Amino acid sequence: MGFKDTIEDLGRKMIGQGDEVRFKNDVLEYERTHRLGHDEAERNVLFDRMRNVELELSSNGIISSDSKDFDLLQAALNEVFGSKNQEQYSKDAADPAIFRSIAVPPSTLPEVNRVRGYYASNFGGKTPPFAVTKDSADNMKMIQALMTRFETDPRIAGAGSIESTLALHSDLGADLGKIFEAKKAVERHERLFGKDLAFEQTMANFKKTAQNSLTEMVWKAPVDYITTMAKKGLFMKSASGLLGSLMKETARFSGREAVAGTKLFGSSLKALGSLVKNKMIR
Amino acid sequence: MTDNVQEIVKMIDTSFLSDGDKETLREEFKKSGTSDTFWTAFHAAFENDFKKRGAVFGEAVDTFESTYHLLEKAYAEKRQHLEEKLENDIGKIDPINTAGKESIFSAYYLEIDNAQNQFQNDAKELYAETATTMVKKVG
Repeated sequence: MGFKDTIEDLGRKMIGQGDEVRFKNDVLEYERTHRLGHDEAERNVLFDRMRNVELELSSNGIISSDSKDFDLLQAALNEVFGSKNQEQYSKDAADPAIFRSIAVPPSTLPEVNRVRGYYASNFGGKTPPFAVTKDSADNMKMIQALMTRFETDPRIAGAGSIESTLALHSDLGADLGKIFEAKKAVERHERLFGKDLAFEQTMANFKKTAQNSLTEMVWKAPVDYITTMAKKGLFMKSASGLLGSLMKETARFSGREAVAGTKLFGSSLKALGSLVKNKMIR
Repeated sequence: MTDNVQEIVKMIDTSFLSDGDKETLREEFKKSGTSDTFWTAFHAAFENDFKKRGAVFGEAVDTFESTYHLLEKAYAEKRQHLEEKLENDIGKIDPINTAGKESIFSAYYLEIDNAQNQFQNDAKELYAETATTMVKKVG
């Protein structure tokens, strides 16, 4: 590889195309070590990437959103086909005149459960509704079936570059497009489930804050007042008497959800009690 | 206790008692000085205030908690309904029809989003109303 290529690769890595550069160099290496032409080497390396994804899929039941194997496959597709072609493949996938139907049996319960297991281990034991996990399992099954159909298509194995083959046979590109769309759907489910859980946390925080705030609105003034009195050592008998009355009045709320755990009724009152007691002893 | 007139006046003025209670204590102080009568009135004023706060607080907390629970329940029911609808709608679609499934899931996620916004807004409104009512009553 010449100096110019090295500089160009470095520049591409700097703009986030490291995996694409890696694919390009892997193809060159494959050409050299296997003494093959560029088109065949490119096809073999691309299929290697596909097989790695299929392996992940069959061992985990799902391609995770942070799958390195899928990132490498995506980079390979970017390098071979470019973004414009891939956009076209996605459009073709939605066109029934281009996309060839494929029979994919519905996911079995164990397959759906593997997806549920993936969610449970990534989201603290929580899982989305059944329809979502089933859809993810169905999409994964479809991706697997489409990859197999794509890799074993005799037209792909023919002469010429893979890109030119797909230019001639748009149904093959549509298979790739369908794979992208299915993967996107799975990622979307995962992203929105994360958002859903974040909402639960937001509401739990809101409730806690509201309860703290209501408690403080009513009781902070008396606590602060008695604290000021006690700190200054003024009217100690009064401070002690007022604290007693305050404790008596607030005690009936101590078991309430709104009050339990609030800073005001926990540490503040305790500190105030110690303060008054210490000043009285001195 | 102290006989420092200035400090006692300041203590009454800076207290969280209502203006009426403060005025009564000032009058009592003018009349009785630092006698036991004054200190009895002083403690009684605060005790009454605490009792009033306790009653208002108890009511506010009851309202907030019970209404919040209803909002939570309504949200959970809405979600349950949406999930059942999703299950039903998606069951009618061919699993390889990604565009068709996407449109059903988009509608579902949009409805979930709306339900969450509704829940959040209602909860905020509940808090604001509870706080306003409570503060008004405490005085």
